Amino acid sequence: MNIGKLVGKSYKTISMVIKEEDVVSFSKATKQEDEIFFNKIVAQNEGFPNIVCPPTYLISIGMKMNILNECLKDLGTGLEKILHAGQEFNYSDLVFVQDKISMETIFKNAYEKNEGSLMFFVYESKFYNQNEVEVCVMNNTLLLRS
Amino acid sequence: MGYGIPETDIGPFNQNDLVKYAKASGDFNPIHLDKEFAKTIGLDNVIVHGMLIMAHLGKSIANSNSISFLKHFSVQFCSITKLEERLICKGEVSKIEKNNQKKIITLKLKVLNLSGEVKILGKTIFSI
Repeated sequence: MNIGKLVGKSYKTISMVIKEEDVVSFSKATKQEDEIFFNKIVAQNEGFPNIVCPPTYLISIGMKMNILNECLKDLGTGLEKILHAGQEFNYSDLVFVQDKISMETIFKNAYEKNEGSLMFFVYESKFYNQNEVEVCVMNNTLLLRS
Repeated sequence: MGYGIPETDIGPFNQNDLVKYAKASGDFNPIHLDKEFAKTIGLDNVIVHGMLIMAHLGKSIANSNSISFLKHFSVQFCSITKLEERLICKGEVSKIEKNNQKKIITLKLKVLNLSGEVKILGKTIFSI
């Protein structure tokens, strides 16, 4: 496996409309307390156009659309072999229910620690809304278990 | 400086919490869901999704008043979290800068268990 050759690789762009039931389910599973994350009327009363996606919601898009599995296939491994080492979100705009979100992912970086016994892989995903406005850049760092 | 977010408690989690999060997030890694698999890699039981803890930490920083100003939220996962563990989320202002007309406020975040073991180190930035 030549990891170096994979750095810079782009994965297929995926696109999906954010569904209310998905955001509500995510908000309930993460025990969100502010109702803007699961109640449309409250969100609108607070001045938002619709239910607001919680700050970490966007990670679910790549998971549900199997982007991570594609990345792991390139590494010759599977979900059961990795640990999540780090996660980063850089926000430019909010994401709401009914937004159409596109996600572009690249293999950004790979590095080793502990004389190669720990291998880290960084994937960068950029998210755009239906107005082609970049709403978030997400970095996902994975650790491959030996 | 020295100001921060109120300390909040999270956990303990149960198996049902992890199943719900797996369905909601699409993260079906067996390390979080399958006790027998967890045992094959030397764990006593499944471990909590790091992203579930990050989502709980997010509640401390993002609400209807603050989310429009949130620009950055990042974490490093430092150690695994077992189902029975209770965690404390902390955050304090580490830097305040001015950029044009905006105030940029950086907070350092930390999640630890009741024994003081660090689970997550993080950072968040607001532009106001």
